[in-house]
Amino acid sequence: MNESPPISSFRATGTHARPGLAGAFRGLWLLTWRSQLTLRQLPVRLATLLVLPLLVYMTVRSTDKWALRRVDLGKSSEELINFLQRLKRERIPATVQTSKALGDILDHETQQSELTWQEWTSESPEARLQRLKDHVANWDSRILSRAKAVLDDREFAEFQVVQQRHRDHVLLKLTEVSVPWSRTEPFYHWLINFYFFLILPLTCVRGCGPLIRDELQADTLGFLITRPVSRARLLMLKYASQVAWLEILLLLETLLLFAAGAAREVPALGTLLPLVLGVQMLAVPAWSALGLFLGQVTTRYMAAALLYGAIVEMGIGRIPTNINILSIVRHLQTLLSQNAAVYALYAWPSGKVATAVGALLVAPVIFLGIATLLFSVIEYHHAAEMQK
Amino acid sequence: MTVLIRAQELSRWYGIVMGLNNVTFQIEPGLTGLVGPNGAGKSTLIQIITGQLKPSSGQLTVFGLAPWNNPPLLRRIGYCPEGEAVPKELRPLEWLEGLGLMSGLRADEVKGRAEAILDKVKLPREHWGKRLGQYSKGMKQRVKLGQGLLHDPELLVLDEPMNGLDPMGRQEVAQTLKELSAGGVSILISSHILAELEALCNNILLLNWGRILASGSQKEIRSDIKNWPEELEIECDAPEKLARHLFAAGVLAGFDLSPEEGLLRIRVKDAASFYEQWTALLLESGAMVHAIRSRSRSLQNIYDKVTT
Repeated sequence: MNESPPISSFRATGTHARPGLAGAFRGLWLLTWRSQLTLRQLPVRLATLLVLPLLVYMTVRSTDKWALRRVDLGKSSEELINFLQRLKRERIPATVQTSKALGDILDHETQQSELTWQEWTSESPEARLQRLKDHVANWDSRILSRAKAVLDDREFAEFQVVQQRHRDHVLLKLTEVSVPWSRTEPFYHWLINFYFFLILPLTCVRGCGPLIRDELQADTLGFLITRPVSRARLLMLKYASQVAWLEILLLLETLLLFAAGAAREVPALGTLLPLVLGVQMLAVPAWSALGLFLGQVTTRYMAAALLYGAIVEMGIGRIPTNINILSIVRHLQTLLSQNAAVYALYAWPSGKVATAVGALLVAPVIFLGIATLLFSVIEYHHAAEMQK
Repeated sequence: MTVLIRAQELSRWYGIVMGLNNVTFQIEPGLTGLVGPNGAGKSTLIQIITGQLKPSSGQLTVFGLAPWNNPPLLRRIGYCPEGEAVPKELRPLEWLEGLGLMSGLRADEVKGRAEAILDKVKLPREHWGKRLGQYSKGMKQRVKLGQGLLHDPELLVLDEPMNGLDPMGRQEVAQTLKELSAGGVSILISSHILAELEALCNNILLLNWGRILASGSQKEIRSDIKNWPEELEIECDAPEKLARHLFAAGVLAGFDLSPEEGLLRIRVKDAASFYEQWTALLLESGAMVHAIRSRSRSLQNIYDKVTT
């Protein structure tokens, strides 16, 4: 073993200088990322990061598959059976030849209509829906005109009823039961609805809520609060280092999501990516500060965050008056609506960009301010924490 | 003499639970031991001294300043908490570098400083690459002690630092503390391992139930308790016979018998009077005495007396 240095040479020089903001941040940043990025945790972190991009990749169809997508106009044999049963109920005799002729017409027209339908990759959901309705109407009119030639008047009158029901059922299935998503729509739903407005806020709250509580429960807070850093500064720097870590982590996640979108040839991602990254830069500090604040006031900060979401974001935020300025989600929507595709898809109520940016900058200051005040005044200690 | 820590009618309550009960004391520079059983208030007092807790009433100053949220004061204090808690995912150098930067060390000196500290607390270099969660209790204690020394404190506060160390480790830590003390660092150390404290500390603070029972140098404490019953351990062939004889002579305040071990532990009412006549009393009893030991001279004995 090496001979330890004598005490006289052991004294550091200049250590009594109070740590500067940058130095203290650097120390906390080192502790933050080193404890969260370990080889042992790496597989889990990577797997977590890859879940959403994989979902995007699996749910957004490739252009080739999309072009081959067929509409389902139902089974012609079932329609023929329904027609024959209806004739029987009405005591109208049906010949074998008539049945066969009608069956051929239904099979042929249905098969033709399904084959001639083509998906267009750049078509909007509304335009596609209208084209689909027209396609079904053409299919219907061709069947009726050909059926009229092989059926007598009474039979044709009954067939019209059966065909109308069948057409309505097919149309309902195609337009309502099967949601008429465009090819790229799942990408936006994963990105905006699921990732941006659910995963990202929860990740930030989960990341910053237990900043102090985890240290208390592990009984390691004493190592930090006995450093020559004021409690307010300590909390702010701990928050800042965690936010920096989350920004990096979520930047990776966003890039992977867009990579999955690009692999599926989602158009115009080049204009959406900078906007999403910019808005994310603002969203992460805001949600993180909310998490930190909630973590300071309760051990059940995740439940508190969900309650906050229900009351403020989903309740107050949707009231069409100025009070909805309290909603972080609303400001994020305003900023994301600057992208044409997002605006067309969601049609959120419009707001001022400057107000939204200002609110997203002020929100973390308010939450962080309250959390800092609490941390400066209230004693947090291990024994009390473990009794909760 | 300069007063390092001064407490004036200091109390600390956790709801209805008492941590410290109206204690007044002062600690001078040097090596001071804080002795008391679990629940005595040692950790509470240490946490107030290191600015982690606020007094409920009264006041406590370190270097003349209140410790709560006081960075200028905290940079003069090093702290090593009780228990095994360390950040499990970090390696010792990473942890010490992070804490060093937070303590005001420059980025270009922090690594060298951390390495010197780990050498100083005798953490073998082959273990530096492991994560703290994989460390034994004794190794964790060494790293914890090291982080307390990072910023070159004037006062080092150690809460049960010997816990988990093997005898050799205790000896090494004690040696390190002595060297630090000789180098001008004042040390406040709490422990249940009284033998080490007795050998290590100039001054002792005895704490129980949130109160100070005795304080000062070991000599002063002994002086304070000179009137306490003297306790002797006698090793003989007939401890019961000897006990009966001494009891009949009216010199005993109490006794404990261990016939299998051939031991008799006696507490005498008046030590001076007993020592005048004890040779005659032993001869009259007819018991063959092999050894006599006083159990009143060690700090352990004082501690046992004041805390039971």
